[in-house]
Amino acid sequence: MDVNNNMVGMMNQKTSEYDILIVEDNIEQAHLTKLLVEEYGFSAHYITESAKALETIQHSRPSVVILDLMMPELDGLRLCQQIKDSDDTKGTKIIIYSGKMYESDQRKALELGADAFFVKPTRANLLITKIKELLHPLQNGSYKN
Amino acid sequence: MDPIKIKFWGVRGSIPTPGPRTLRYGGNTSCVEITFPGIPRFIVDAGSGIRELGKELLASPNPEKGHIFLSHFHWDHIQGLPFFKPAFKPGNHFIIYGSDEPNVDLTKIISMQMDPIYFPVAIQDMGAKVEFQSIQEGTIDIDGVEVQSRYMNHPGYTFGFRFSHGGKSVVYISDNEPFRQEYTQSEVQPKTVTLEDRFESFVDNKEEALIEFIAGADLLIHDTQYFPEEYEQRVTWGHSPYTYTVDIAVKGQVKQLILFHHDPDHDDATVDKMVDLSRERLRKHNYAIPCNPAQEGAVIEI
Repeated sequence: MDVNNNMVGMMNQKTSEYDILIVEDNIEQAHLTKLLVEEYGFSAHYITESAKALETIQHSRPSVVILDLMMPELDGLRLCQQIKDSDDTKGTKIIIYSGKMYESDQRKALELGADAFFVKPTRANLLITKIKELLHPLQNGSYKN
Repeated sequence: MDPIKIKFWGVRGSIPTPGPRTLRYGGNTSCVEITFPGIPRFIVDAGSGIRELGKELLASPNPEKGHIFLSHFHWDHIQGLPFFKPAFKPGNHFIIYGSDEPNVDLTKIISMQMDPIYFPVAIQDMGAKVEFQSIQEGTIDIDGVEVQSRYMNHPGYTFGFRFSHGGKSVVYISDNEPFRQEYTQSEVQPKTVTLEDRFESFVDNKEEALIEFIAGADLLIHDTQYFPEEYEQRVTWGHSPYTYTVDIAVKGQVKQLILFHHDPDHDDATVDKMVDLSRERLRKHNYAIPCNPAQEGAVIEI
């Protein structure tokens, strides 16, 4: 075990395979988001089948999950709740990135433990800044500005 | 084969609007009855209109069975349920379908509006057999009727439903709003397209999925609460201008369009104006289909 990895305590004794997991049923949106965060130095993967997301998160231990809301099979709010209810994934930071622009949905997501909510399409720098903010305690903010 | 019968018991959005201004189209909130030949009735939404439907069902000497689909739980879609008398009659049987919330199950969601604080009769007092079945986005089969549920762009979990039987289909979308598209519409594309530009201009409007959901429907009942100039002031209120409704009806190649969920501030003459403009827009699209406003008591057969 790499005891120098600051994520160890946060991620229940297991290291992350990558920084960010994007859960998004629109493959074009998922791919664009992956390219964007990679340009800023993060490692990222995406999945388009939300029903497999929790298992993927448990296995891969991303530090941040970027989550769409309206997805077939398992919607983003329920997935957010599952991530935050599970002892081995509750430390995962969650950014909701959805086309739904309603304050009531945003409040509900934050109540369920989401760490941030952005309405699509948002400014790239806002999303990147939030990711850095969430990761900063873990990774010393050494990403490309 | 006998036709599918659709009857409108409540057509108004947001809040009941009784009075002379709404006499022709009606002031009761959302409730639509869909009757498939030889199958227990389907009821979509339980706004104040369901009370009148209940009175008709009470007149039946036989036990009644029905499937009640709730698009979501805003007042105008559930407020009639405590006044639905057939649910209090022993021997009747109703199954209520709707979404759980992450921390509140469907039974509790419905029961809460009959808490003694709000209503003097508890849901446990319903003498009929009343069952609750939580649903998510997907497809279920009920007595040979295929029911597809799809999340719409409206606060919270809000479904649109597509009911298909015998090669015909009815789509009910009472509350839905276009996704935001301001970046693509208003911003000039930069000469050098960076990755950031592409990310910021990408609109995941889910329209393709919506069009697929309504495609070829024999009847589309869709939210048409606003004129475009009203909508500009009410973006994020969860409802559509008629322009959007007409445009998706054309894209989806539906065979008949019903304008639904009339704004509580729209009197009959205003609804007439919206119908005229909707028909004009259909003509501009060169797409000739029947287009009418939902009207309390009206029946459509397909």
